[in-house]
Amino acid sequence: MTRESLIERIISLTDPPETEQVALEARLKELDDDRLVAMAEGLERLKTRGQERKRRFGPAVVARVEQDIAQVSAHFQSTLHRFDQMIAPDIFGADEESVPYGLARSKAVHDRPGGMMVGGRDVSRPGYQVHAPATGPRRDWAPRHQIFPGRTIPADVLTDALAQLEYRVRQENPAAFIAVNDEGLDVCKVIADDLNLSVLVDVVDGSARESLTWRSRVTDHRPAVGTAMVVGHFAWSGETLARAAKMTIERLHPKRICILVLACSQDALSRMESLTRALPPSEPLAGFEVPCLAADPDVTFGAHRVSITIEQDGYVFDMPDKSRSKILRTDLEKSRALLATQEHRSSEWRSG
Amino acid sequence: MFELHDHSWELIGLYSDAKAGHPPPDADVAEDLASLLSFRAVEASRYDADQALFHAPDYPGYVSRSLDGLQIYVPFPLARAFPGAQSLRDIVAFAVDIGIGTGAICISGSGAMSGTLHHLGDLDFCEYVFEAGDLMGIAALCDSASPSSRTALAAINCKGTVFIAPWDGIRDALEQLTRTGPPATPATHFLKLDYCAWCTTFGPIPATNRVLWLSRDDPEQGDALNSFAHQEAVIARGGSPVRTLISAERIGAYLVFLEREIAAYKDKNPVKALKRALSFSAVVGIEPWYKDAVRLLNHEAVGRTVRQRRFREFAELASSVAPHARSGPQAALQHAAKMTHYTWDTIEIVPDTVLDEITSLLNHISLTIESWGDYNELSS
Repeated sequence: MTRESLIERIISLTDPPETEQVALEARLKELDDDRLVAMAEGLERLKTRGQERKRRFGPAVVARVEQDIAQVSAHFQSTLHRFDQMIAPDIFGADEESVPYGLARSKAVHDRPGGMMVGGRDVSRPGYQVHAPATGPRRDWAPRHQIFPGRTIPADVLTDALAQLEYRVRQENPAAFIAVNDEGLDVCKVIADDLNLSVLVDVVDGSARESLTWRSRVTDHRPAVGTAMVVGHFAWSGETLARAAKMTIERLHPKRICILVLACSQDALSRMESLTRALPPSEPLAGFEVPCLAADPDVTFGAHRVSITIEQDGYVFDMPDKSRSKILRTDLEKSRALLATQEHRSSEWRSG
Repeated sequence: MFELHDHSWELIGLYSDAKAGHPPPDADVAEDLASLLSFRAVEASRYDADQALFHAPDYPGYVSRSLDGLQIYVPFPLARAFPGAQSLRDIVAFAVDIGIGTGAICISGSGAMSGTLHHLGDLDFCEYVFEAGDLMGIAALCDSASPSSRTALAAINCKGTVFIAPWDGIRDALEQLTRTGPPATPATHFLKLDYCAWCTTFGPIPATNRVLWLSRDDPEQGDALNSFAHQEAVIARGGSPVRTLISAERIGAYLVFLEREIAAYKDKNPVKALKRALSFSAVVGIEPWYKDAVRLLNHEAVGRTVRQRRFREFAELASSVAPHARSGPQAALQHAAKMTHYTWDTIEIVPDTVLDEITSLLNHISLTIESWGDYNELSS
């Protein structure tokens, strides 16, 4: 038997997911002939043993075990869902450098946006292997509560808010990630690094300075830009955000753009109002989603998302995800009212 | 519906054999298992955070990497969750600091999975010792006047008796221990050292070194039967893995151990029990459970309960540290409190709800796995 057929045999005996076969084949090729032969023969015999076990267990037991697995999985899902209702999910950034104090995370290698990274394999992108960073992990990340210097924000509030934000980024799975300076940029740097996002553009208050960083290991696998995400802060004007979004569209031609607006000020909601007024209807920006994450009366932190989908014949309104931070949802009613206002406005824009 | 692979059925068979007290089906199964474990190691190679773990062909079931001149061997169930260099360097530094001998010391528990698991409650190590002299080295640790910059010895459990500073009676207890030679049968709480550990990567964290005094003639017997090589990443310190992963009997026993730990801890420490369920699914190859358990363990809701427990334990341990060495752990705690703006025992969470949810899930898992252990008897 040739090496190739031995490797084929081993793959067939182990039946890995299609997405992993290429990587597995490459690894098996590193084994010498003797080991390949021994492995193929041993796996063959073990498969027979397993089949014999199944036969002895009987079809009823086999069906029962597989049903058990499905039922426990369903229980897992319902538990996870209930946890998501309780508190922001924190499923990002399986760390190579752990989590001091549970507040800061560093570069993620496993769970990247798309949510399907398993040990370096991006199972959500068939056939692709995402490589570890060539330049080594980012080492200058800051604990999350230091992202907003000079502001007094309870660490747990900020942690939750950022976890929420990451959750949204992860759900959007953006191919481009654009920061609008200052806190927005700081947040983007941390999150982009956590999630290994492919593009980071700095827009400093709408001025000329900008940079575009392509991470080749990812862009190799992403020939087209799908969603671009712009992250900004309420302190920046809607005009700046709109300019960032426009520049993103011009340079990257994304199919979809999503704007996340951060706020950690007492009057975040009123600023949100200002922002929506500042966005000119002529820009391809319509459809607003406002999952308000207000904290206590003195400190308001919000991750407000303005989301649009660019299509040939108009814009599609995105529904917010349902996860909410227990701590941060005290002002939800207010945000719902605002959302209703924006839906109305968005509808008016669309109808022209 | 998820379909179990034929190889996984054999592993479930070994589990039910072990649970029923049946011997493995035949001696040849070990050779076939070696192929499966080798395959699993090949499959897991370079899936760690650094993509630095490579299949170790001479030690079936292990992947291996080097770090700062040390060779580390990682059993396949831990491989894809193994930490990358930065946190691993800190973990290894802890291991070297708290090791009592110069031979292999292993990273066990969630520290070995900290490449994937975010929330660590503690760092567990186990150390293989073959010489009585190494055990007596513990007395020197107690007498040390110069505190370490990253660890502080808090307590020693020697055959069920707990010693704390000023360590009255520890020397006598160790001398008595060494007179008898390595235990011929597994002994509960044979020798365990509890530490406060701290560093910038992990903050303050309890650490434990479980010492296994083994016989060179048969390192798989005696106290070795109290630990499972499948959950121990070996920092070889010049040697190689002391123990083998290829044993049908031990794999079956490991799965039974995990099932019993799930049942034992599902109420009193459900997060720990959930980690056991994670290990069970990693060994057998139940991928949906593995992914879901990781997601659940990484959930912030779980993270808060883990951190709360962790810092309470650390504070308790710190109170037992000898006065001259207490400043290190106390400063680590103060720094953590400053960094996070709250003290660890006042974290506002909903632990009862969270823990009740996990316990409910674990009841389901426990009953499910337990029922699998009975199928062999029913069908034979």
